Amino acid sequence: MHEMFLAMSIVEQTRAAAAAEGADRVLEVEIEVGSLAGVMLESLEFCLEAAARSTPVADTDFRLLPVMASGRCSSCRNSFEVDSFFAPCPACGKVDLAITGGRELKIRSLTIED
Amino acid sequence: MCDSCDCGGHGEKVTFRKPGEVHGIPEQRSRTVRVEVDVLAKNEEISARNRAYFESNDILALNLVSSPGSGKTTILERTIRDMRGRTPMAVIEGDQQTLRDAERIGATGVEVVQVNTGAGCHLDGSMVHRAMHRLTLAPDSILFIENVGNLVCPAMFDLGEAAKVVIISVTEGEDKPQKYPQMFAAASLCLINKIDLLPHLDFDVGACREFAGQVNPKLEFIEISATTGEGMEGWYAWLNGRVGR
Repeated sequence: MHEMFLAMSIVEQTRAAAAAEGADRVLEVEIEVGSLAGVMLESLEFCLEAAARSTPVADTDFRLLPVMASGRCSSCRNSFEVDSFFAPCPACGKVDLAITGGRELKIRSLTIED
Repeated sequence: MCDSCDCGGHGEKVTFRKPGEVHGIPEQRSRTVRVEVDVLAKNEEISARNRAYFESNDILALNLVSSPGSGKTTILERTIRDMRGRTPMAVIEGDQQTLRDAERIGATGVEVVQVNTGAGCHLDGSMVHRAMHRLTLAPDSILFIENVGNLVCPAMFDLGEAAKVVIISVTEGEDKPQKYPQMFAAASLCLINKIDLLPHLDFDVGACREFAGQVNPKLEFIEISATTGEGMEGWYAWLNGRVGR
């Protein structure tokens, strides 16, 4: 439900970053979306199209790059990839996980034409 | 791809060259710039300002989150009636529509502002910022921020609070922490409400705690009934241990 808010923020931030670079056109925007960021990719894609419509970035290709989450077992310190907040440690089997990555939602880069 | 200079040809597949020219000229004069900007940066910035204000004025700001109907407003009504006179309190109420919750809280005698988000599914830092300017916040006080009833979206939006308090009532499923892990992962305290109804239900408190503990091993629990008052002293002790610190 909050994806529309996020899409509007992305459009706004893209326009601000493009203006700061003095760009005429934004061809592509890469957005990193962590698998535990609480964002539905399909929904964000849909909302981006709607949020960009009738703006200078209406033709921009907004590319969502999924980032796999990682965690560390607080018991045995083993680091591993996770797909949820409560995955058991593959080394010791305990469920005592600290999420170390995969919660990010950020604009990585802009490809622009001057 | 050009290895010789910064002609802009890096990564370009199509280039055009005349005999004698050293560098490829890309078809389009495009370039890629790294920005690395957090999409929620603006909210984080406003919330950081809220947090700084709360901390410098010794205001304990708590973000109360839950599904609709878990008893957030009833918990607040009872808390305010029981703690009034000892601790100054104020409330920001978040709902999509109506002044109902603000009227209930207002009847307890504390200052309250209702934020109606309209179509919005959560409060954000800016809404809290604007709401808090309409309140008189005393030093060593508690500001309760009752978020929109929703276990999904409010988890993403920092308001500047000292802690998130997630409320689950025993009329819900004990597996909610696993179904909505974002919220339980972000919370510091879990209030398990309506425990007076346990004899009539199949809710397994132990399983609920275990599910939530797997999502967030540091999560604290207090079992309460805002209707009968059972367990509320534990909640007040938790608050008193944090206010004015």
